[in-house]
Amino acid sequence: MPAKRVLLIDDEDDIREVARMSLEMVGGWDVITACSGIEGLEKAAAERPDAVLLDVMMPVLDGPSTFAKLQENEATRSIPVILLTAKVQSADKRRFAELGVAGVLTKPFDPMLLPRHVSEILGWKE
Amino acid sequence: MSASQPSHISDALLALWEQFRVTIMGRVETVEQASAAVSRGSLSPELRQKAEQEAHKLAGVLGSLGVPEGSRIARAIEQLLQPQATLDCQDAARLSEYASELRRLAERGPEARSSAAHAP
Repeated sequence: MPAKRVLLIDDEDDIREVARMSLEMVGGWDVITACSGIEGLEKAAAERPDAVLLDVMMPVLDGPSTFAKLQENEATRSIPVILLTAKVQSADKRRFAELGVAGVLTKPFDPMLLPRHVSEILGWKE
Repeated sequence: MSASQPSHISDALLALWEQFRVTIMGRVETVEQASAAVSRGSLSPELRQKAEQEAHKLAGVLGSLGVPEGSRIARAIEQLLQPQATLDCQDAARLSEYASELRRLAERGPEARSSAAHAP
């Protein structure tokens, strides 16, 4: 079975690299990265990943706006999206979940567990 | 699911810590500047916003890199610096204490990976 391909969109280099390392080394997945919502939209349409991990707070095009644009595009509409946020208040998480994303994960995350949590949300068998 | 040995992952995390140490310490410095400005009674809205954003980023990354207490402290700082919050002298003292603790934790670096990387 080919490795899953995950698009990781986050404007912060440090957290993006930690997440990439985790998804690649712990999950064994192929990871495509984008450092902005706009770049993420382009890569999602071109690469058609199996899932998108999307940071919430980004300049210009934030996570929810990026998700809305992914939904508008027929080519990317069916790709499941998980929001990654450092907002931990339940009201924030509920608000994000109501957008229609597949799930919401909070930062900080444990790099040893991130792929498992992604798999659980998406129903991927380990 | 693990495609690599845990020791390799620990090594990779340490390498990432080293790679981003300067960035992280720069963020800590911004928080310290804001704390000092609060103590002087001269915190500008711009510095407050920048420090809140940097605290938010630190809250997100420190725990993932093995400094979970740093994430907790950074989140507390972020809460204090929310634009709608008023800062009294007690808050100034707490902010100063948090900023010092944040620097201490950041300078110490990651804990052993056997401990949980999660902050609440």
